[in-house]
Amino acid sequence: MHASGVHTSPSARIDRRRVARGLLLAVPLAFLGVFFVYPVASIIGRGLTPGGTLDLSPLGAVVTDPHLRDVAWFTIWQATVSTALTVLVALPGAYVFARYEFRGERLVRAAVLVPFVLPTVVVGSAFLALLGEGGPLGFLGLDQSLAAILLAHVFFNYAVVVLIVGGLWSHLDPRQEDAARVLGAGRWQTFRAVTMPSLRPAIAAAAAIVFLFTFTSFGVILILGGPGYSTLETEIYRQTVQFLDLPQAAALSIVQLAAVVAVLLVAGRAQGRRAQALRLRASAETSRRARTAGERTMVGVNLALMAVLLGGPIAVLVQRSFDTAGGYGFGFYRALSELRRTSTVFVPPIEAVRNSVVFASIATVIALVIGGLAAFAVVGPGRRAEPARGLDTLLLLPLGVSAVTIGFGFLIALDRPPFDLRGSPALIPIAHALVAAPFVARVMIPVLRSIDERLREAAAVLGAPPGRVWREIDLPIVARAMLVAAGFAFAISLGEFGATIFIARPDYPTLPVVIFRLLGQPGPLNFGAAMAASVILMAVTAAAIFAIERFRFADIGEF
Amino acid sequence: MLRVEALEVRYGDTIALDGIDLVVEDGEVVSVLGPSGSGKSTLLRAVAGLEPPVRGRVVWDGDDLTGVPPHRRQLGLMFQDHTLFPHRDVLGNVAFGLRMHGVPAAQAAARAGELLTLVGLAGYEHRRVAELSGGEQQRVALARAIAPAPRLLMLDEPLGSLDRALRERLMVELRDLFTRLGLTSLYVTHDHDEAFALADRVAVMHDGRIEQLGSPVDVWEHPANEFVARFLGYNVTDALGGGRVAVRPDSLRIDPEGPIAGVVTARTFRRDHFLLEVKVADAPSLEVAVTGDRIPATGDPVRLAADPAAIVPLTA
Repeated sequence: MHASGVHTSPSARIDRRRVARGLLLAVPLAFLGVFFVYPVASIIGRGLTPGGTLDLSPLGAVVTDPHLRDVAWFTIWQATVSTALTVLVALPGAYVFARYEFRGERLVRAAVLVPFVLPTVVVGSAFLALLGEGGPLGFLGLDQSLAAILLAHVFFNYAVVVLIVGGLWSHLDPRQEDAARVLGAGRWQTFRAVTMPSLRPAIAAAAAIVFLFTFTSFGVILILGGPGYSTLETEIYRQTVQFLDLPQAAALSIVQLAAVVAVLLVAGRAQGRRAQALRLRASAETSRRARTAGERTMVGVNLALMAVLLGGPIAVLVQRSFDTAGGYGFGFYRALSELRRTSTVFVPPIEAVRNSVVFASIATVIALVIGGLAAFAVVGPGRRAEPARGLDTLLLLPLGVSAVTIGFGFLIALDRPPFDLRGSPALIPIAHALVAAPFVARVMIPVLRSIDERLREAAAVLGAPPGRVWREIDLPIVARAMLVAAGFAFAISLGEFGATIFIARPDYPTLPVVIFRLLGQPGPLNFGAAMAASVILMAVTAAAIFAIERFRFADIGEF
Repeated sequence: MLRVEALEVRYGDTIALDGIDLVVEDGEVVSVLGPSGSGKSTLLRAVAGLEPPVRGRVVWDGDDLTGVPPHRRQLGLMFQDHTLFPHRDVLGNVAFGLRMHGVPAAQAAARAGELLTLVGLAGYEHRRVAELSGGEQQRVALARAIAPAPRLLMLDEPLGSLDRALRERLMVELRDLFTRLGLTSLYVTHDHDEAFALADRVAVMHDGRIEQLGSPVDVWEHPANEFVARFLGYNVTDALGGGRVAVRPDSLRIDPEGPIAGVVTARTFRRDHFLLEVKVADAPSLEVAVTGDRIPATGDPVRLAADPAAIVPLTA
């Protein structure tokens, strides 16, 4: 009787799914292989075997050479202090956003995110405008000081803490705090015994990300630190560009890589602990208007802090870009097309605007394809697809590995067969896409995961074949996330500096490179032009970000 | 006519369906009744083609559907919690199946409009599904499931998430709809009122097997075994003499001359009667439904008698 026959169809179906996933994966894996794994492997090779044979002296120099030892130590402790400061300053802000409603909240929320997506070069310029010679706070003498670096790091990462910690906080059930208060706990006791334990995983995750960002900080330190302050990142750049000591730069990159991997592992463990059972509620139910005088003061003080800390440097940057010797005007902006070519930039600065937009458009397309395919492959088709954990991690690695490492890797690996792309303009959008693709995947994966498998089943039962199910269900639902991801990728590419500085040639510089070059030139005209170029870069980036905010990325992103 | 033959589905080592045989005649409504975890949803999913069986067949009018993918089976499934497409409006949801079957957009929209009228949601075409109440979502899900005119309509706890009053109203509407459209249906529920009210035949499921299959009256009055009896709310006891029997709480009465002595241990008010829990010596407690104005209180000794015609003997 055929009824008892064993069917082979289930396993055949699973095999087909494996093949489909393999095909989806092939493109991102090939891309990561050539443009990430191979350059990184080249760095490791160059660092360990500088003369063709194993030689650990460049690596050892990081410990024995007093200068390099100072660099490594400074990298660690400035990141630690920056992280602690950022969490301390931003935690009350996260609380205010999570628990209170106030007029203009949406606008303030969007504005707070702006510094985070600002190009590092613009952040550097803004703080230079504020604290440097001729700036409103120039009298403090903070130019080229540690304080300037730390302030810029807090400015830059404030949004990370607000997004991650505030995001969780706004979903915590305030009635748990009410319950503790009714049981006799004071405000401070309640915070320590009830709120803090729930928030701890989010704080740890946010701190890990801020640490990673500040540990690999490059543009900010290069511009604000001057010659006195050097991190591993800036030292890799100096060894490469000034001393042409590639083996030493490679050895520093290895140290940097190892440190980043260690931080990622620790952060991964903290993230794992996040999976505790919390009673979460819709954020709309957990926030309300400030009622008492104390609450209103809390909200007011934090909003004022945000205005001064986040708004101040940007306002001064804009002001100084118009503040020419002959009064306020567009002189510095005009100078962008009039300035003569220099030894480092062969074209008028204004051409960099066009370069940047073109590169960013190409990088966005590449990042969407690579990150999108990877996201679909990671989530996998079907309910019982085992999550591809290893792939998830591989995808995130370029996110952690510093841009400088990527740029340096391109420089030493892609200049000879089999991948001779030396001087090719294509390297720039590829490097940018490498930095942006993990963001794209990171934005899309949670959305794809959140799609109820039964929606696909419902579509299938209603007559949709598998390809049609993907087109009718997955694609429309994830489309919004893809738009958000595209905006991210575009903004990331516009502001990318660490990798670009290694591979951009003088005849097609990007805007951040031009700003950096202008800041390195003497005279108020060059400085003013740098301010003007920074304002233009900021405006283009802000346009991309405000386009995203219309799709409310704060509710989608998970990073 | 749907014929399920010796169907077996496993999740890893767990046997979800353990050799199910079931026939649904054209125009018939068969209700699958059972507690959660009994395998009733899995049965629907397997018939729809969403769960690959290890053994057995699903046959429609002599055609073996077992290897046919869900989208070519022409069966309808209304999921628990409705699972409406959140990115489409009401019309987009209802017209979805028609579009998948190649019906031109204008025609699909017109047909979807008719169906919305049928389920009492005329004018809802361009509402977002998230704005709908639970009952409205249920109606949209129903319209969506019947729009492509499936050969068999399967419903998985369609009224499960609704409040009691709404559930009772929709039960009547569904019954009316099944009759009017002459739908062939497989209806899964854990609520026997729902099953008995809607079905021509009831299949009681337990641990992946069908324990009893029959008309609602037959199943209600003659539970086939201890599991079915307990699931339907019968007392299962040895205290009446004559071996193990099943007896409904309303077939027991307080009678000073009754053969069974016990003590009231709990008393619960149940709208039209009181439900007493009576501890009987050396046996599990019995539930007794009592009406009238002299209701014993907790702690009172009582004697019970049973209506002999209502005692169902149980074999093993």
